Amino acid sequence: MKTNLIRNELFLNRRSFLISGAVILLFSAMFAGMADMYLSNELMVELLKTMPQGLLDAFGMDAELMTTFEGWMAGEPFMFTVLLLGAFSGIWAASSISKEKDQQTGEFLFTLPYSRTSIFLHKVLAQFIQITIISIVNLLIVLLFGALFSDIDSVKTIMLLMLGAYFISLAFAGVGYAITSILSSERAAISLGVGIVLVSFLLNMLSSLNEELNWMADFSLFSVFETKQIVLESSLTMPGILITLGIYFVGIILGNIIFVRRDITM
Amino acid sequence: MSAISTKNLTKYYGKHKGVSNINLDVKEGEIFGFIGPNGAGKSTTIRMLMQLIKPTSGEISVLNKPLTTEQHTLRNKIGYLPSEINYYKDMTGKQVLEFAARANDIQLKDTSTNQYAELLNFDMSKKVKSYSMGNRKKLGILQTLLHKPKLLILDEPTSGLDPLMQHSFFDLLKELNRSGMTIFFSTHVLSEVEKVCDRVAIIRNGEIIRTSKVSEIQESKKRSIEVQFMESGNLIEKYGLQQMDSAVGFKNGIHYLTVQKEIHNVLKHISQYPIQDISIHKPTLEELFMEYYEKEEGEEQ
Repeated sequence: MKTNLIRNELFLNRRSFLISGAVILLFSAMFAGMADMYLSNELMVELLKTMPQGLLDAFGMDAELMTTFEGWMAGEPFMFTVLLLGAFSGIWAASSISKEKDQQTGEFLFTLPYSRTSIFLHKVLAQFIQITIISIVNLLIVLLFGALFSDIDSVKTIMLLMLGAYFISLAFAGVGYAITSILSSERAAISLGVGIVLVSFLLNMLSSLNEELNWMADFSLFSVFETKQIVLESSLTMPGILITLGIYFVGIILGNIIFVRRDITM
Repeated sequence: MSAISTKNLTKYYGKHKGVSNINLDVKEGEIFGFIGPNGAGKSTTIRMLMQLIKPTSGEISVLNKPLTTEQHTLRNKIGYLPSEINYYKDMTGKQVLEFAARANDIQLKDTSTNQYAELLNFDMSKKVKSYSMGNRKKLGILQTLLHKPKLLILDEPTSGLDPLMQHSFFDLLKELNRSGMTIFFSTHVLSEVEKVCDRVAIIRNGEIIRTSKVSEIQESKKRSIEVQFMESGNLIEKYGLQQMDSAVGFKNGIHYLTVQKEIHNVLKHISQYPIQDISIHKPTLEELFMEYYEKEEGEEQ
């Protein structure tokens, strides 16, 4: 284990890590803190019942679930968590190698006595730590604000929801790793990192709006886990876990193969 | 023993030739100059030595290890200074050096870095983003030397350094070489090669056109003569200077003669006329290099 490389990557990402952490935690605190405003609001639930199911699905809302804290967190808050954490994970991953090329620091880093695989995997490990820290703190914030301002029936369900968001974010990171060595500009990496998450979100939304577009959900990571099922059955589906972690690991392997084989040109 | 050995090293970027059939043999303990104009293929060759890019064909061996697979542990013994060095902007010079030291499994305090920093008049406590190009180069030099490498590979090492620093840097290189370090450095500034190198390879359009000792190139019999006659004006035809075995030119009242072979006959000829001033000197490596290049280009055309 090369702690030197991990520390370096954490140092390089420290600003985006703090910004992303603050934004995600703020949103989560806000959603968790405001839960009862919606849950105890009969008018809101009635209003949701009048809206087409497709539209509600598109925005991750379900009138049936809007009666408990867990159900509320499985809706919009879950979508926001995946959107934000997924985007930041994608950006970090896609920038891993491309930022070294873009800032022309690669000629320094890649000529130190580390193998390319070691450099790549330690960057992955550092980013795994970042994503995991944010996810854990996010869970704690949701539980804290849920306990303070609402009623939590099942801590396990909240944990599973957050775990689902965490796995999806790792999958977005996997896509980023697969492309990072091909890119040579950090700006392109940021655009692609965000773009992939937004396209995935859009596909999921469109698939909910029209039955003929249902197939689009097969190409969206947002639909890997059925949040309604997580709330009702208090479990994560195995295919979802396998798909997300599969994308993550395949992305890492593919990215490393490309990185090891390619010329490094600044 | 060879510190660097390449056989028919070739690199193509798609259809575009980077370098072709580069054969180098740098002996352990020597200072080897790699000279050529910008775009000749110096950096491409060096990047292949550092395994940043892969050869299209040919063989490379560094410190007697063939570079058929990635030899990252070998970099413990190599100090590499790229032509344009960039470090993480938010780190201080010291943080960069500590990071590089840990990569080499050493502690910065156990190295000669402070001594070298003093020599180069370099402040390690500032952030990289505040450094000028020259200071970034100095940081690069410190990073390159901190693990006491056996082989130094320097790509245009003096660009950005002021003349005083260049002088200190060359003194340092000579001292390191005396302690057994092999130095391979590329440049397009020929006077640098003259100052420190034992041998030199000249590269042009991706191909090595000559490899020899610096002293061999300088030992050419060629001489440059500058004559100012008592009589003013261009006297080339009047004095029959064009008939001699030399290239002749006239500028600002001075006649320039480049003598290829024996100088005796030329001196005998011009001494028939009243001379106001005369100087004879060996051509600089720069002049020889330019002539060599022009000759090669002429042959190609």
